[in-house]
Amino acid sequence: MKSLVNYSFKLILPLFFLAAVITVDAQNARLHFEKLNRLETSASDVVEVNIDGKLLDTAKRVLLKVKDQDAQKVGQAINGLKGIYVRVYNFENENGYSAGDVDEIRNQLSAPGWEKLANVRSKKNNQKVDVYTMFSGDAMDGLAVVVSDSKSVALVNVIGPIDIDLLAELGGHLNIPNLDIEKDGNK
Amino acid sequence: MNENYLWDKTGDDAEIEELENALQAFRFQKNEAPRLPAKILPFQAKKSWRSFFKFGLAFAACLLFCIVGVKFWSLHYSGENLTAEIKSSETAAQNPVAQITAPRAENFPAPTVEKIKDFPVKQIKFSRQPLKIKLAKAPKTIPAVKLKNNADDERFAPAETVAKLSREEKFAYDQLLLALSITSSKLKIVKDKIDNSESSKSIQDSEK
Repeated sequence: MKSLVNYSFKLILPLFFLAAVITVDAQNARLHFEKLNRLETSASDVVEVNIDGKLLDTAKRVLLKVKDQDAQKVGQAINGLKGIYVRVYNFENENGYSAGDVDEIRNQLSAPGWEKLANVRSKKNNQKVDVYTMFSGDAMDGLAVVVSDSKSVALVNVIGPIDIDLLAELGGHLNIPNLDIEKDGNK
Repeated sequence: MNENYLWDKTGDDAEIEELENALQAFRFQKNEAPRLPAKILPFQAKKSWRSFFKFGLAFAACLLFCIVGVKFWSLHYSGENLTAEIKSSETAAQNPVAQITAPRAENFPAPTVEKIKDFPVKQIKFSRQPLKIKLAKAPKTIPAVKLKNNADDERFAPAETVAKLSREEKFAYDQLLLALSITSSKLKIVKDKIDNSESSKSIQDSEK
């Protein structure tokens, strides 16, 4: 009996720690946007989307339910997704926000684990785009996208693996309400 | 104990006789059979309510079966009736159609008005000319009539193509698509910038 208890402890404890490590890793991919809440007072448009837990599971279930090829592709792309957090702030006037607010978010991406995937700087509209990813081995733990220009700030934080190429390819094909979020200088 | 006495009461047995005398009160006595009551009431078996429902349910099942059968028959055979109608209309169109041309107004004199004394009513007189009747050929092409295919009818759309979502499911779906659309749009910016830079590089290299 004692040997059985000892054996089970030896088996369960490592699994417990492994699960804890995995959970911690996933949580490290999470960015904290709380300090950007003060931008809400000065922004003309604010979009905040937080999807995780049961809401995400429900959405995944719906994607499998809907008989649409694009929706099913998206469902496959986000199969292992654990959470997705989006913040978008649009301002009427230029420099409606402090660059330091966004740099605080960029500083979080300098923590160990994050790897810079792409970095775009454009003098037109003072646009800055940063794409970061976090991997543990071959598995993707998270994705972070920070886009800022003179009149808008957009932050995307994805927890879990996601097919970036497929998302970029499907952009515009999904039946999504038109919010006119992106104000590109090319338009 | 005298066994013969017990068997057929022959002989004497004082002990048994004593017992018989003691239990004399309980001796069997042949009495008349009890009289039955004068009126015999017939036994009335209670009608079970279950039998009523048994037939009622059977009737309802038969009726339902008939309704379903008629509905199925009407749906199945309605297409054949439609083809018959179209064929009959086609044959009618092939027959020459009488076309009546109206006479020209210039062939008729101006109308005359006569006043009748007692009755101030206009009377218009026309001089008649014979109507010209031409036989015109039916058009060669008959406008196509599309038979409504069951596949096109929304009533027959398979249930799988129509996803019924609850409020929560719709909310979750919309939120997820919103998040993914924003993500994909931002990723597309990066992709476009990279593609543009690569194309400009290749142009520069080709110029060199």
